[in-house]
Amino acid sequence: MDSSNFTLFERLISKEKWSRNDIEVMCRNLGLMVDGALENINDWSYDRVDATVVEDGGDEVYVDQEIVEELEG
Amino acid sequence: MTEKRIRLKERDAIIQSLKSGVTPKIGIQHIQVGRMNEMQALYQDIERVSEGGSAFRFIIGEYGSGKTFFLSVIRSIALKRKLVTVNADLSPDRRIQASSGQARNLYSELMRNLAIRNKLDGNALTSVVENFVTQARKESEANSTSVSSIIHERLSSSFRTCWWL
Repeated sequence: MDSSNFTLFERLISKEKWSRNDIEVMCRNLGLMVDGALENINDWSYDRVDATVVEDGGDEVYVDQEIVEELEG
Repeated sequence: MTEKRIRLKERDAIIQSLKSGVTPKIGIQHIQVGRMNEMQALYQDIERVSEGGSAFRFIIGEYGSGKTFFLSVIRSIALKRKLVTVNADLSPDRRIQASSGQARNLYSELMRNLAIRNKLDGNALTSVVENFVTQARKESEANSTSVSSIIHERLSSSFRTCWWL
């Protein structure tokens, strides 16, 4: 995972639920595309703990804190 | 090797879908048993597809014999291998060939259900496209070539698709 995606990941894990608009703003500042970035983060997470960390619920995006703990542990 | 832990989310999904008699969307590998020969045959198909080949299969069986379950297992293996899957049920409104838009309906349904391992429920087209563009951008930064020429080059090389009807 590259540095801008990792920065996004670090910001995302600070809370469980995000609105898509907030993520769009963060992505724009980091020069990322929302779906591409979330896919990148999930791919990285899947390779490490066999599960996705971010769940895209359309207008809302959820961060699975159980998986975050596994990733950090 | 340590004992495989099944996550709470997976456990819930499995129990809930077994209760209502449908195939679970996640964690299907935990409840799959038997069908070794069939699994092996389809696993070889997946291998072939990931190497750029193709495969076509008919899965025929009695009502309730486990066709859908079997296909879901195969689908989950393909997704784990980082393949993209599409699926749709054929109906009078969704046909392979038609004159009044039913073929387009089938195509729309397939695209709606386009899935990757991180998006099992479908709607993964934007993820696939954006991931593709992101990779092209990275490559362009590394090789100082234009993004569009990398995209053109990649698109012209063969696309890998697999159909299970």
